[in-house]
Amino acid sequence: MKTGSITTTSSMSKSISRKRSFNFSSLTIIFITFALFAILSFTSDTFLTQRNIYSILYGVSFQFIAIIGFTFLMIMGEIDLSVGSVYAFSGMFMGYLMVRLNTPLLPAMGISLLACGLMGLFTGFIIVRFKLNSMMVTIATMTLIRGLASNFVNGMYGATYPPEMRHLSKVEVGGFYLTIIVMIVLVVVFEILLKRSAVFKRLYFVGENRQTARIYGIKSDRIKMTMFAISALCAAIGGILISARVTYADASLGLGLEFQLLTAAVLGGASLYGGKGSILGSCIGLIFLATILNGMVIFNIEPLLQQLIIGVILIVSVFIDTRLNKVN
Amino acid sequence: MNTKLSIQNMNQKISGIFRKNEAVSVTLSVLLFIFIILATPYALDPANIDALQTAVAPYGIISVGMMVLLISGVFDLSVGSAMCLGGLVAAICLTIGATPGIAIIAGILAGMITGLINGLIVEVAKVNALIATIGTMYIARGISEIVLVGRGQAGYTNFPESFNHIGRGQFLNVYFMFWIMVALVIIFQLILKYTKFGRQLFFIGGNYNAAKQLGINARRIRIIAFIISGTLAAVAGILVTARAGIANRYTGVGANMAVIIACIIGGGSLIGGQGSIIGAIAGMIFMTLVSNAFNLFTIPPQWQDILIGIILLIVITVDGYISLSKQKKLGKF
Repeated sequence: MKTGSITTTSSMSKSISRKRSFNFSSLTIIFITFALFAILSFTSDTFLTQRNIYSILYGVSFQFIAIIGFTFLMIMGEIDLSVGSVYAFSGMFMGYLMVRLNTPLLPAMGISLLACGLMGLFTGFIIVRFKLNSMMVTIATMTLIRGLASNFVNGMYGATYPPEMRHLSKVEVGGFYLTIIVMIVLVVVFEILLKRSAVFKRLYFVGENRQTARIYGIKSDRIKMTMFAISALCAAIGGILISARVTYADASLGLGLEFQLLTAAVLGGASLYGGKGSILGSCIGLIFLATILNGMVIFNIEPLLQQLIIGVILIVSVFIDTRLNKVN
Repeated sequence: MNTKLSIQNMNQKISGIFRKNEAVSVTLSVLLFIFIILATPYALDPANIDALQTAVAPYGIISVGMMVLLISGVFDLSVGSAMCLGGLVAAICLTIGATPGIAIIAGILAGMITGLINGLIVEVAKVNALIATIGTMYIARGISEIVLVGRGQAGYTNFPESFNHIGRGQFLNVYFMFWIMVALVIIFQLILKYTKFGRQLFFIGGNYNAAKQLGINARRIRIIAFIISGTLAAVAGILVTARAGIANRYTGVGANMAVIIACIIGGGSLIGGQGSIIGAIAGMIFMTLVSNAFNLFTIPPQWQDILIGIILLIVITVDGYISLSKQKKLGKF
């Protein structure tokens, strides 16, 4: 991934890894995931069946929509810990509107998405306006939005969502679930956009060095605000679909999602310091995490070991990445 | 011109208050406490006072360690898992027949090791603190779950009375765990104010590279800070285990966020270099009082999250506004 001459002119750049001509980390996770797939397919008859792979992809496709905006923010060197709460809030709000206030499907969805987008925009605004640490602000909004979502959990009294909303997660096109098709299309689109489009390349510039980006005429504040709104919108769309799949307002929905997404994005080559990351990498990161869980279920390993293994993989992969960047 | 001056004056006054990091959280806690006492007769009920003490103490103890870390510019998301692990290790030792003393030492050791590992990953392997402690959060939680395999929902129970006494016993009508918290607050506040180690913590948090160039062993000091945080989390876990008489997988779930939020309300910052132990405790007391008030007035608990979120937003934004106007005055922007 070439980012032009901006970094070479700046001695302040945090990362000196840009000289490589491709995204090494993204390849690493693809390789590891392939290895995992190979091992699982050789050792188990049930893994490499169409149904199993299909169910892994279907499960991942909801979180994938949420990770798009999250990855954009990470590329810019920001983080949004409120994704899990927005993920829970959007579907519950929409369901609440439909069940309790008899709002039709599309207006309910529109209102819910609008609310989430505005919350994201507001978060972005105070972060940009007061130059705040995005982690601190989004810890606050995470708590706040989770509280709002819990209100809807209580307001629903355990009622299931209406059939037309539940149907959303089951829409099929040509025999495949729409969410999976959307996932594959978006990966390809964003992979091309992030590499080729001038608009999206700015995300990397801002993430690498905001001062230099500003000198080069990039309005980083405006981009950042937009991206916070987009991140909330992505989480909201994913949340509406997962709510449709879960069929009722589950209080534990999206709990800890921010850490899962962070783990997946970092495994996929994103960095907390910004300037790195790709949608493809994040997507493969999610698939990798889901495959580990799947493999453990197949082999009847205590699913509890999953957390331990994910923790170790996370630390080791970031450690290796840090080392490699240092050497370069 | 005049109005501009007076606005500047006011700004200075506000920032003067805010420079005392603990002022906001202490004021909030005191006001809320007075309000609760005036508003309901149950507030000073012995049962409620008991509940308050035992709710504040464990998380308060953890927030002491967290504030030490925050001041030095890092933080620890694995405290909840370390808390769970510490309690579990003590419980296992008791179950296989160790004396309470040995069990407690083993539990604390588990926390120390968690902290040491965190410190080594962050400072020696140079992995970002957020990633590293999310990793150890998963790992420690995973180890706790593995240890609990085949134990059912309740986990480990039936501890000797002498162990349970640590969590249930009182001195001068105040729980031991509350005394421990008070002692830790005083000790660490003094350490921060009057020792070289304390001042170095602030320095490292303020400017890591400058501190290093001045010959401060930043790496060692941060590792020590991580060990302190892990140890205190384990202490809290042991106290909670002794109080409840149960060590199970639900100990410390959500503790990491609660503690970090308390520390930020108490004047800490994820960027480092600011904060005080008294502020952290006041922040924790405030959060506990909020949830207590919601219980006493039977308001649905989800409003508590909303209120804390809003207060946190306000505290962060006001703090950011003040530091921004300070920097503007210095001509940085």
